Amino acid sequence: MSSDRGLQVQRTTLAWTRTAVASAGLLGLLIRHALVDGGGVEILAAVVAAVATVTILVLGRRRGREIDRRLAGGTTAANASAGRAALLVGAVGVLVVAVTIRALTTSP
Amino acid sequence: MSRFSAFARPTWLDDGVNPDYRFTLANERTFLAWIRTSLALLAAAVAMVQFLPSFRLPGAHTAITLILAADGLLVTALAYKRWAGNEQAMRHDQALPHSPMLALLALSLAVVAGIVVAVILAGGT
Repeated sequence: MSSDRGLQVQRTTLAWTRTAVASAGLLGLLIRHALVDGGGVEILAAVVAAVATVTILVLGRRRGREIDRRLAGGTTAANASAGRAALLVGAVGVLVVAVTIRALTTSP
Repeated sequence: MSRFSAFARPTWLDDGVNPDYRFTLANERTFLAWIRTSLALLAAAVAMVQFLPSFRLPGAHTAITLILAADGLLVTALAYKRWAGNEQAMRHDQALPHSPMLALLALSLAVVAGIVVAVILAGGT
């Protein structure tokens, strides 16, 4: 039971880490885009993506410790911060839509 | 009046009964997998405008880029809805609700693949 517990914590923490990596990948692309295309929307998109990446990293590490603690006490709870993560990624998504529309309509 | 607030603890989190922790964590990992899918779609859209020139087939480049970006946004919204719906269903011992996300994504990517075939047939870039 306790080895399964450890495995569950590990798998969930890993899932958060992988998500942070994916967010960092998008951030890299957006930073490059902001450097190349230099508009206000582009810069905002990169900034929000940076906030999202850091937030996901922090939430993931906190969640790992939280699960560990709760399982040791015999319970667990759904992640109260999932909404925050989704909202930030959603904000990045809105800005990416804006950035792509802008790039598509101002191309020569 | 909505009970949704991304920065407060959702009220339904404490409704019903705590499900087996393995189901809760599996649901969370599924949510994160969908978020990663969304991030990949958004990255593909940005890469399209950054690295790929227009295609010979008029409108194809725009169509693919917009489909990828819109899907990226939609998947994140639906992923959260699915996660919350699943967790609430588990807490009240109900069947897991159906999400249209899978069908939406499969359809969108099939359309993109079709456009790519047309782009190739029209002579590429």
